[in-house]
Amino acid sequence: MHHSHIDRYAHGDSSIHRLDPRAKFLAVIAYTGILISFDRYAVSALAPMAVLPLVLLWFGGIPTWFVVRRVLVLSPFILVLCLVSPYYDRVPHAVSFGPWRYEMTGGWLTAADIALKFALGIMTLTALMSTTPFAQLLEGMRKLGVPRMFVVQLGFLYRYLFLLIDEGLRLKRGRDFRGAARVPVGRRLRAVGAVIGHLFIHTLDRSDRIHTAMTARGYRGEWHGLSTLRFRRRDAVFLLVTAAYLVICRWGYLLLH
Amino acid sequence: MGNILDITDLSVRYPDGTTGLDGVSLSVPAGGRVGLIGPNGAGKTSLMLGVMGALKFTGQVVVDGIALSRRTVDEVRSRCGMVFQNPDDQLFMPTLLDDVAFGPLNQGCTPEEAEARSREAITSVGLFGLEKKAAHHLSGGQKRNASLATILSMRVKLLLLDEPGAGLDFRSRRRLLEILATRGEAFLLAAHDLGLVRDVCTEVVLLDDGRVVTSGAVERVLDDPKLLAAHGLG
Repeated sequence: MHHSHIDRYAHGDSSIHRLDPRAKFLAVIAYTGILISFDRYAVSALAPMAVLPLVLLWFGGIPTWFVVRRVLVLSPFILVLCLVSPYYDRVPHAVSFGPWRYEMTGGWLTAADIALKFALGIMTLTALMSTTPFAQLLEGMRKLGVPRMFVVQLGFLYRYLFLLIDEGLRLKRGRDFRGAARVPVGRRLRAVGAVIGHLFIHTLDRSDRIHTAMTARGYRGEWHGLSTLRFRRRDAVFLLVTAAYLVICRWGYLLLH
Repeated sequence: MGNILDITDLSVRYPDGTTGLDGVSLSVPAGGRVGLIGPNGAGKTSLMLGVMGALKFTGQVVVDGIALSRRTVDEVRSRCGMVFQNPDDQLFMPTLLDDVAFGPLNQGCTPEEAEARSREAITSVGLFGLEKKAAHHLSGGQKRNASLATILSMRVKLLLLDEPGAGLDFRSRRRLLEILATRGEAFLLAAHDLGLVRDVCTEVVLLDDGRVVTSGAVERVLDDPKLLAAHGLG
C-alpha cells in the first residue's frame, strides 16, 4: 500500500534539518502563539509573518507542491468558516494597502484573516514536520517537559496511523472488488459503516496485543528512552533570531499604528 | 544440564469459555531447540502467552528454575522473550533502535548499555544501518528480523518464536535460518512450516485441540505422514 507519510522529507540533511528539534518546536509554538494574537482585522500586518515558514521551507529544501498540497488538503475545514464569516459581520471597515484604499465589511476581513492564519500555520507545521524526524520531535517534546503520556500517545498515533490507513484501504479494496461501486448509495453507506466498525474492532484487538507485547518486554508503566539530542550554540542562535523576528512582527506593527 | 522450561499440566480457558490448552506438559532443555507444531487453533500461541504470564492459567510453568506467578512474572519475563506472530504488534516505537532498546531499558540497563546491546542485536539480524528507520519503512522480512532483535537485545535464556517464518520469501527465510542456527539460546518455535522446524529444531511437540498429541525427535514425528495427516499437517 502506498500513502504519503507525514514526515516524508524529515530525513534530509539541510541546515534546518540539523537544528535541535527542541529549538524548532519552541520556535513553532512561539510563532503560532504570536500568529493567533493578531487582531482579526489587521490582515496586512500578517504579511511579515510569512517570512519564517518560507525561510524554513526554502532552506529545508521542501518542494513547493508538497506544501501547497498540505494546505489544500486541509483547507475544506477552514473554507466553511471563511464562507460564513461575511454573513455575520457586515460592519464596513476602511482598508489601506500602500497607496490603495478600499472599504470592506468586517466579515470579509475576518475571512481573509482566517485563511491567512490557517495557511501560515499549516506551512509552519509542515516545515517543522518535514525537517524533523518524528522520533526526534517526540524526544524533544519529552525533554521539554511535555506530559509523558501525551508524548507516548502521539508516538502510538504516528506508528499505527499508517497501519490503520493500510487496513482501511485493504478493506475498501476488498469491498470494491466485490462490486460495491455498482450498488445503490444507501447500501454503499451501510458498507462504509461496516468498514469503520471493522477498523474500530481491529484497533481494539491490536491495542490489546501491543499491550501484551509491551508487558512481555518488561513494561510496567514507566517509559524509558534513548536520548541522542544535543542543544548546540547554533540552536540557541536560531531561537534568539526567531524571538527577535517575532517581537518585531508583533510589536513593530503596533508601533507603526 | 537441566531444563530451561518445564510446563506441567497447563490449562488455559478464555473468558468466552473456549479451551486454549488442556493439561499440557512439556519441557525444553537448556540450549534446546524445540518445535511446536499443530493446526490452526491447536493452542500454540496460547501456550506461549501462558509462559509469558499474559493469560490466566492453571498448572505450573517454571522458567529457569522460577515458578511463574503474579509475584515472579517480571523475573520470568527477564529470562524469556516472545516474538509475536505479527511484527506490527511487536514494533511500536518510533524507530528500530528505540524498539530494540525498549526491553533492555525496562530491564534496568543504562541508556548507553541498552544502546550498545541494541546495536549488537540489530547487526546480528542483518539490519545494520537501519537503526533510525521507522517500522513502517521496513519490509516484511526486515520487520520479522527486527522483532527478533527486540528479544535478542534482552539477552534472555529462552526464546518463544511464534510463526517467525510466516510470509517470508526464500532469502529472508534463509537469513532467519542462519540467525537461529548461530544463536546459543534455547527456543520453542511454533510453526506451520515443517521444513523450518526440521531445519532448526532437534525435538518437536505436536499439539492439537489444546493437548499434546506426541513429542520426540524431529525425524520420528515429522517422518510419520499418517500422524501429520491426522492432525491437519500433511
